[in-house]
Amino acid sequence: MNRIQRRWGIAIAGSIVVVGGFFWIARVRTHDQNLAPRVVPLASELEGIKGAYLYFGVPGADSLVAEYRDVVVKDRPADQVRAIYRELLAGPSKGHVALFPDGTELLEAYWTDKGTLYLDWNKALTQGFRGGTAREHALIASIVRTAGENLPGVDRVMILVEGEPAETIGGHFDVLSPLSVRDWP
Amino acid sequence: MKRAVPLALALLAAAIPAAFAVQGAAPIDVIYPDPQPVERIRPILLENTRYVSTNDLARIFRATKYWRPELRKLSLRVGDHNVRFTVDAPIVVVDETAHNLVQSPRLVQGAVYVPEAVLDGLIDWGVVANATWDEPSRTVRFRSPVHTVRQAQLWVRGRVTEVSATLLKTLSPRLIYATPGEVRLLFEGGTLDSARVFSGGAVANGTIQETADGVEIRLVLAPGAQGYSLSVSSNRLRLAVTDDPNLVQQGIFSKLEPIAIGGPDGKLRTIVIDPGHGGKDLGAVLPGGGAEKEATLEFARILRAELQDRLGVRVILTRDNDQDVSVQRRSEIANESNADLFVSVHFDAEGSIRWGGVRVYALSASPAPDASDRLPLALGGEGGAEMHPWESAQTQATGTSMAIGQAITDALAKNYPQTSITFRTGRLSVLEPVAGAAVLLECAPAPRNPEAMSLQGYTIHDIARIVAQSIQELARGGHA
Repeated sequence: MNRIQRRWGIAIAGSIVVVGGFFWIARVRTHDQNLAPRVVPLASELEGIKGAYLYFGVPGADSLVAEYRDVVVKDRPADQVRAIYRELLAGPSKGHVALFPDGTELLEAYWTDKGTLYLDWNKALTQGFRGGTAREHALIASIVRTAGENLPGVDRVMILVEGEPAETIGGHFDVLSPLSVRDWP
Repeated sequence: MKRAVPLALALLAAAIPAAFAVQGAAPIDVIYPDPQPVERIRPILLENTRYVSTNDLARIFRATKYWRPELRKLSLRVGDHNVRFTVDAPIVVVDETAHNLVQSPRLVQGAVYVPEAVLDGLIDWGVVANATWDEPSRTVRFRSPVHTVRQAQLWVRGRVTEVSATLLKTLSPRLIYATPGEVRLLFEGGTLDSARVFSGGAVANGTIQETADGVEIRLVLAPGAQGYSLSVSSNRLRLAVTDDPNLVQQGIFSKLEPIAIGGPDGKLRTIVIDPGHGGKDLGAVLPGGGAEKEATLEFARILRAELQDRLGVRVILTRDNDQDVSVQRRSEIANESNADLFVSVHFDAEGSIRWGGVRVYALSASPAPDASDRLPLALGGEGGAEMHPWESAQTQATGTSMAIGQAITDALAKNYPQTSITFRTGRLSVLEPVAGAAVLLECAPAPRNPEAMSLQGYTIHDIARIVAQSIQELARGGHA
């Protein structure tokens, strides 16, 4: 075996060792993943992940756009509602327009068997609102459409502010009675 | 040795992706009803079986995922159904019934994958009712909702032009208004197979489209239109217009009448203009930092002067300085003044009018969800007084208000064809209690010159002049 052949032999053997090492690492990694999956382990069997479509504003347009988001939810309907709206309040992630006034919080959610969802917000929703009909329309549509899209069985949404029905959010649209999902496309 | 090192590195580069790759299978197209775009999901190939990710299934079918790592079980909650998979067990439990799978679910790179045949199963097992799975074309297709108004067409027969459509269920059309310039019809709560634009005969420009209120037919009539007829029989709508006065005289067609915005004698006496916001309520922040409440008051004063000059009528402002006025009080002022017309003025600079434009609103023709509980109360028998619930007083004037709103919109659009000028309806607080005709204007100032309130080359004086001119024409018996 001359010198060149010996060097080739060393290079090929080295490559085999390196490639084999990578396959071994990959196998171990897959095995590890089987043991510790990337699916988020949840605290209890009553928790799950709901794929929710959340509606935000579009810059320079009167329309809304849906963003898909994985939301950790509990099994109870009211908890699901709170989790979904918490995500909506957190705002958009893709350059869309956040519609809620700063400081807005969802205090409570009630869901009647007649298909009306009651959402009780803090006063920041009305007191912090600054905008015209376009923004107010988009905000109401975002609230109503997010419910209609993600909560089967919800036909109407009633907006409350600190437990009381609100006449309007920004002075333009009437929200004193329940808002039909059909009317806010 | 010098050549051996690059060779080793090349082998290494090829080995790294190969070690991590998961072999892909032919993609699946998910076709939703319009307007959602087609989505493509990519299954993977494991031991010659195609697998789809449960993450994709959850997203497509709006399911909630529940994962129990200690049992390696994944549940999908789809509506009222519960579908439970166990990793490496060839069985799925749907609600309380177990079904065999061709292969076991697998955990791959942190996600649970199930055999592609589960797509078929979800439909067969009754979990998904609104979609079909076609394996040859590799397509999941969601069914379109069943439309209640379909196949709208326009026919021209001599001097009669007819729009017909098939109605899937018994829907009662509501004639919003029928003037010599325009006919507007609404199917409350209806859905439409596809929007159409048509023209011909006595119809200069017609549209049928879905709005927030339902399916709306709007026919802009050619000059000389005389009458209209509306009938629904055997699930067929027939809306016809004619320019033949004989058909009107014979009573076959109803006469197209101009909108009357005055009192019973047709005279316009009082107009109430409502400058939006005021006092502590600043309204929207306009470009340049101005407050909406200031712009609305300035515009209202200009419009008042225009209307007084043109029509010589009494014009009342709901506020003539910077003061708080509740939404309810604004409507009260209109009703106490017995206003023939109420115009609420607002400014905005967002959405489609971000760069200038005007939105004109009238109250939605579709009543609020609980409005049926608040029907008018008749006093004194036939011909007696009729009391309307405060919050739904506007419903008696909706048709007139919509015709006025459309006329103002058309006049503005005609003068400024390059600008965003739209007519809309909605549940607007300030319009609902107004007993007479009522509209709301939302103007947008151009962002570069907010001080002068110039609107993309025009001023609020121009806007006020066009609005006043439209009202003047309507008062003279001009048509929308």
